[in-house]
Amino acid sequence: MAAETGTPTTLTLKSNDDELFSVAESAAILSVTIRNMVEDGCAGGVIPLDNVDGKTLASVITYMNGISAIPADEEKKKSYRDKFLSDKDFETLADMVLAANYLNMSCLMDAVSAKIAQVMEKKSVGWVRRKFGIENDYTPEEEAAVKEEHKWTFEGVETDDDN
Amino acid sequence: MAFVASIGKGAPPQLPRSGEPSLPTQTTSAAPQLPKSSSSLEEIAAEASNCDKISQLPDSILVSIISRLTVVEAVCTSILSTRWRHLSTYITRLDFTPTPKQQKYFEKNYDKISKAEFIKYTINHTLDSHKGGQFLDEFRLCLPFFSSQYQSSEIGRWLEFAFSKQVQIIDLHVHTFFPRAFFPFLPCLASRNEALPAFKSLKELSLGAVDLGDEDLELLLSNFIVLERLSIEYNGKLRVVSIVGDLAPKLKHLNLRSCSSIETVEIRGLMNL
Repeated sequence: MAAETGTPTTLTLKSNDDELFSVAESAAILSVTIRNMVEDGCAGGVIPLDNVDGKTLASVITYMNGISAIPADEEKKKSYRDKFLSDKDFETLADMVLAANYLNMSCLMDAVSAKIAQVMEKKSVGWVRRKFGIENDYTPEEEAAVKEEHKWTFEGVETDDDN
Repeated sequence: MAFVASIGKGAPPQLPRSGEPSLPTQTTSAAPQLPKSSSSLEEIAAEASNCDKISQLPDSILVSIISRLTVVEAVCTSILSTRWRHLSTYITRLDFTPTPKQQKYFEKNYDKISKAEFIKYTINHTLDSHKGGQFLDEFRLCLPFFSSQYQSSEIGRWLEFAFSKQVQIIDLHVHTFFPRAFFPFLPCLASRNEALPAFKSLKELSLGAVDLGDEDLELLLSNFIVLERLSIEYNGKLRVVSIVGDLAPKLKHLNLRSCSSIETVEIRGLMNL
């Protein structure tokens, strides 16, 4: 670790499909998982990230570089995050939230979670089931029991309609 | 369903795909992609419907996702399938804003007291069954059908719940100009001497149509030492607001709006404001 010398340090990250990526240490330590490795002195060679594939890692690194280039301005960081996620499909978002979770990057985790939640907002249970391909494996009795359990919360909420 | 016990902010990151080879869906990564216009939420959902990928995400991630919804919406996800049944009791943001539909339904079907009772029961039920542990990111209470007779005493209990966690944001809005609620800060603190977990975690506090007086405000600021944003609206009790010196060392934003009884405001020596 050459952080004390003042020269920018570059880390090499390896995806689970053996792609290698160079990234500035200052950007990579947005990931608490990577930061801990750096602090423990095990970042000298290649850092293997066994739970992230190359495509997702490339995307995460783009995010790391982009967000760390923005000075401490929450508004600007937020608009960068919005823009960064705006063209991602669900498949990519799901991979990204898994990677953010593994890499322990709370800001990315929060942003992707919020983006996925937006899809479910103000939608009925039936709509969410269909759109996400969720199979209802409750027996009618079980489903009735769940509804009964939360019946006060569900008052006035039509859970089965198509809106 | 096996539920991880350590779920929440303090949980270590899960390793959901350990040992799995790279997924077949990602083989096209090398192809140059045409610039794409923003995918709409509809498109995101349409692509998601091929296989139930969302239900395969680990519990902590699903909880993180549904924590972004209002409490009513999050609880609704428990009907999706058995996979989702208990997730909503672990959400880290409790936002009790009723859905517009629910609000309309209440308007049509119940008198004022019953509406207030419904809200009260829903909040109590949610807090009693909540299993989120020591951390809470946000606590938002929006009370559109406030009845002082039924709810003033409850607000103290609800805030105690939030104060007993390491909560970062509290937003309490009563949506009627009269009657107002009284901020129950003093009685809830008078009975105890030990520091509450929220003293060192609360960064944002927003109060709408909740009365608190000059002394309450001072007591509040002197206890919530990391408070960065404070907003007080529709207050009828504040008269002399004095925030001086190191009373609020971290305060960056202060909003006082429609506080009709304020006579003087003195703000001095706040480095971050």
